[in-house]
Amino acid sequence: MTRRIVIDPVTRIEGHAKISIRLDDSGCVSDAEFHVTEFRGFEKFCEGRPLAEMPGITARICGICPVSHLLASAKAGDAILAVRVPTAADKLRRLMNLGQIVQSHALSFFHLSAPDFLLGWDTAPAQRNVFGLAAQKPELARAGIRLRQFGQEIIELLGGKKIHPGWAVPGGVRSGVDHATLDKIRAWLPESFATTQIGLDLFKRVLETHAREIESYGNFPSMFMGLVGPRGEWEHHGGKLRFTDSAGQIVQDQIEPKTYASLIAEQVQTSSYLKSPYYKLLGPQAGMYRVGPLARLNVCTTIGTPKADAELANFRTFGRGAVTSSFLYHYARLIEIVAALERIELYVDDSDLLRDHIRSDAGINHLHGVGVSEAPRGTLFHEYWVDEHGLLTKVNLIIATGHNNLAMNRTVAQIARAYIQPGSTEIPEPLLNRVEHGIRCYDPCLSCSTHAVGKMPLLIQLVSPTGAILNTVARD
Amino acid sequence: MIAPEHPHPPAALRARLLVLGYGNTLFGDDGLGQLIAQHVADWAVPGVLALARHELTPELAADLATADDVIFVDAALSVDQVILLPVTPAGENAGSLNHALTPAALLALTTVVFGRTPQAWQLIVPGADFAPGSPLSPLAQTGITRALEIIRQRL
Repeated sequence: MTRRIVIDPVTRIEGHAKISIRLDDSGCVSDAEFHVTEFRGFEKFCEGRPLAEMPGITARICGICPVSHLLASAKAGDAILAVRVPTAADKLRRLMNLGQIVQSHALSFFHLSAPDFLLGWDTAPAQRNVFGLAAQKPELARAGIRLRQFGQEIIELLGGKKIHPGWAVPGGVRSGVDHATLDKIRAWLPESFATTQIGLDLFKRVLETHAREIESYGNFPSMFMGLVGPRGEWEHHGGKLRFTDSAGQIVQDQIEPKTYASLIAEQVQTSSYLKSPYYKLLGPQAGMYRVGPLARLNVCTTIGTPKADAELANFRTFGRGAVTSSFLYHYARLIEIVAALERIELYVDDSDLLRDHIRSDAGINHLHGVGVSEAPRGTLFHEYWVDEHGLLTKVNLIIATGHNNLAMNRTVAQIARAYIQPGSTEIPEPLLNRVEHGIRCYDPCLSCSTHAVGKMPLLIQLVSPTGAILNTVARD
Repeated sequence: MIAPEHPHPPAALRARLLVLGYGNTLFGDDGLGQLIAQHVADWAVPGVLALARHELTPELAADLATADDVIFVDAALSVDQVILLPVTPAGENAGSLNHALTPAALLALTTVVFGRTPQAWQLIVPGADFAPGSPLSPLAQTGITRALEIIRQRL
């Protein structure tokens, strides 16, 4: 017999979700589940669409990470056309993805997560948010906004003034860049480096006083997955898959992304539309893996740029083998911003980007293709099947938030065990704040299908073994 | 290097009116806010800036800070005619955020971070069909026409 504590919805993440915490007969937390209750249905929606339109369509899935879908889709198209993407196009796609990483990580750190650890976990929710942060530290909030603006600026300079640029296409990209564009990007870099350093200095001070959070916010053994380059270097767009374990040992390396299905299986939960992938050879429990910034820094051998590698060395002092606390996702995000800025700095001086040849043409040469890109939140797979006319007959998308689903469940359970007294049916405010933050460590993106005018309160329900609601708490 | 506190952009960079339409164009009427913003952009009226967005995110505060007036345009199931409502910066309750900022919350962020509060309105346009891939409903099409009339009257 179990009881469930339900927290619905989680605020400040993409889409709507709820959290169920199950208690066992003795009143102790047994497990937890992160539910996604909205049906998105994009895979069915895409069937029958022309391959060439898929990047533009799938980019509209999400307002937070459209570039990730754009690039993964274009790469799936590359595979179906069986073309080699021109050097300029590959580098331009990478430049856009780096802009995406900067803007997404800046939003996650400065606006969604920083209020929790800068204003205090137990500050009233009405103040523990970006407005409270802006009131106390306006210069920090403004710097965070401008860092996100920089990432958006790169995306717009390359893809046009659209939030969902249909710019990357199978075979390459639609338009190139000129010197003036690269100069505009270059001009932002000093301020962006400075803002990121402010974030790093700030978070290192946070780490000195947050030992309990490091210990209890998703600190458990797991596998990690991400793309790496041929020498194991940090990757975000090309490369091949690497799996490592919590001891930091390489389990699988240089796996062709198109063979991902031989290593990854997807568990379907009846209570959630979010699929739960796992490492097939070990099953859902031992095969749980994490993706995203924490995983990418765990799987890579080096980042390959000096400032980011210096931070990586410090980051690794927080683990024995791998860094296993999900609280360190925040640190990893900041390091990845540094890595992205250093690479952007190299690209703005790279004459390859100015080449005219930006798109390879071909017809349908394969009826199946897989495209993989590292979204800010983790590895994103687009797998397409087409007919001989290039119309989609089947689509499978594995999103970063899905990869992390099992780890998020375990994180919530771990936090709940630390903050729920055995036998208690109370849902204390400190628990709510911390469970929400535990989820936000992963920066999940469940991109909402529609939105309502107005706000939705945070609703917390305590449910008896028979399903009766024992207690309800709403937070405006 | 951080942008100066409360930057007041030169008049040449200011927008007399910012029209900010948002929603998801994959979901039928949900995308009508973006369509309206694109119409306004096509008018190319000097001093009028129109932005089409998926949702309201914090960096838009920088755009609001450069505008004298702002009209947020969004779809809603809960109305049966186009409604124009004034928006004021939300108080502390604006902190309970969902997946994105509300117009009132974005206005509050603009005020506290950039020290400017443009006059703001929310133009709520009725929608009927928010299913994936749906065409615009007749209700939404009528609403778009009416919404564009209201915006044009304010130019």
